[in-house]
Amino acid sequence: MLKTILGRLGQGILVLLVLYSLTFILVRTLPGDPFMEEKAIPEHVKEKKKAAYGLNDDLPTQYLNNLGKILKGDFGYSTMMTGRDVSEIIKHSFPVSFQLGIAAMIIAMLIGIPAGIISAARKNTLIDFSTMAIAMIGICLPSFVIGPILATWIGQSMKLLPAAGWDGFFSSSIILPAVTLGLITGAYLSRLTRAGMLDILGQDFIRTAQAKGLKEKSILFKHALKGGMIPAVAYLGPAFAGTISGSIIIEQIFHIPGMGQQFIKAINKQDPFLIQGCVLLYGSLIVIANLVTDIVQVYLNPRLRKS
Amino acid sequence: MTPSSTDPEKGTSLWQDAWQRLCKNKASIISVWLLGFIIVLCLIGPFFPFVDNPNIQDLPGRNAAPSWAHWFGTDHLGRDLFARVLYGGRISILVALVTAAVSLTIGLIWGSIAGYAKGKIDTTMMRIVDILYALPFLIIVILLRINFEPLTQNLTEFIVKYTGDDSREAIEPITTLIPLFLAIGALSWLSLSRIVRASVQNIASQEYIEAARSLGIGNTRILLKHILPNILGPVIVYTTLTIPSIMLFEAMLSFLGLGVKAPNASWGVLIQEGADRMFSNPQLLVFPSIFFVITLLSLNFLGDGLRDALDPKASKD
Repeated sequence: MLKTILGRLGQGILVLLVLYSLTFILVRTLPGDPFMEEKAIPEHVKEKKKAAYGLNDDLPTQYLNNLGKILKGDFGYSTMMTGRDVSEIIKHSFPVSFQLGIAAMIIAMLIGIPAGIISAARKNTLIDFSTMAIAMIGICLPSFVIGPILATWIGQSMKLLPAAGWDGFFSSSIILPAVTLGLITGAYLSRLTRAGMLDILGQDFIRTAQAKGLKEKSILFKHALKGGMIPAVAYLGPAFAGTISGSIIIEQIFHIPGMGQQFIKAINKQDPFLIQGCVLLYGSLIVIANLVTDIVQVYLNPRLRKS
Repeated sequence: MTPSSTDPEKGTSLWQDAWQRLCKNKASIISVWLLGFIIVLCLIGPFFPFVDNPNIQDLPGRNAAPSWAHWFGTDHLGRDLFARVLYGGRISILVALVTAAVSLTIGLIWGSIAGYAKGKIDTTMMRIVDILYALPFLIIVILLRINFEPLTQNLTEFIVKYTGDDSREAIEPITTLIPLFLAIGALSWLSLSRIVRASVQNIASQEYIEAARSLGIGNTRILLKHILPNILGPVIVYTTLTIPSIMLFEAMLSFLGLGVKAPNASWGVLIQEGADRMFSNPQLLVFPSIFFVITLLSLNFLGDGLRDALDPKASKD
């Protein structure tokens, strides 16, 4: 078991290395350069600027220097916001995206898991069909459609909740963006929960429990839930990482100053170090999420412990 | 003894069985009709005189509500929204189909080589898929999309050199889409390659393949003639399910301003323009969204139906 986890950790480090190399190549081969401005600056000034950021060395040197710095925790300086540290920018913007992601996941779980359990328990009834139909609509209704509708309808017309901005986790401004972001994840979760629960509910030990005359509630929650949640749990980790990168769209719609906004700005201004920092952070989140998922799965599924 | 009584009962092929199962699935049949309607409308609609030119601006008549002259109303520049939705649909469908073809090609080749080669080649190829799988998809697609940008310019110049300057207007809209095809296609083949590999491995271990090999048939021929036709089922199912996710991606990129660029407009671009003016002119968001969401829903229901029909074992219950 420890061996499996160490193996996964090794793979995660490999993933990050590949991600770093890929980002390095993609960013350094971008058309244009980070010092393109509306008013062209003289060539010699540009050269000096490039030298200051270490962008004049040949690519292999840059690749290694950069990697060494990153391993020491130095992500370089932003070229777009002169003089600002990339880690400082991320330190300010990432918590916003993170809190938004957490709130969205809570909403997704509150909607998705009960919906999945109910439709599995009432398989092939009207409740099941309508829940799954709603889930399918939820999957196909992208956040950039539902977001503007919620912002205009609830935020601007009815003035119930703030339509834009950010006042922290415990404020009403988080509700609309978190709901928008959490709906799709919730819809997927309900489908996975239903499938997992149906799988377990069809097994012999459940029939035995029913034959013994156990109450439906205790069968559902005591016997079936732990096993039935495995597919949903496997999805939770990657879904959380996906939610954080998915918040790029949400931040755009609701004008939230999170990391997604910084990333899009960095892309448009071709800020090499800021792009790299954001990408590596998104990548590490996925690696960590996958690792945690693996561990939780082993806990839920004893059969995995032996191998 | 009449000849008819000795005739063996007419068997049904696997495909006929699947077709019958699909026809029993109401959601899939409705989806097929809806999809057909939307596709035909987008492809043929613009040839009819009642569909305006989507790029003609009419500033005095801007932000008009739906009427007989403009079925869906007009946008902030007075362009007919109905026409824009139809032309946008063409672009969205084109991007989805071409990108799906790109990802199908890569996935099919990668997966079948890995599944058929086995051993070290298989392990290496699938490890690469594992690693690519763990990358932040949206982020990499955005980076690739920007990187492929100069391709547009070069390709346009290249083609125009041979076809003359007059054709520039016809070529440019297509070449500006190519970075998008490549960027999304470059990463959306991963799941498909896993499915192809598993299916190929499954078929390759059967006796008739061994028989074919012992008859001295070459690997390429076995793969193309004896294995590929037998894995079509899962490939069709998965491709049908990949198309809506590609459409979603295209729309998401277009929403961020990194996808389809002017003069083209896809549903994603229309939704983004509508979202900006949702408060003053809600139809700009509502109509393109309805078309977009119905298309996605139909494709997903059709994919689910196809999976139940072609692969009854894999369906959930």
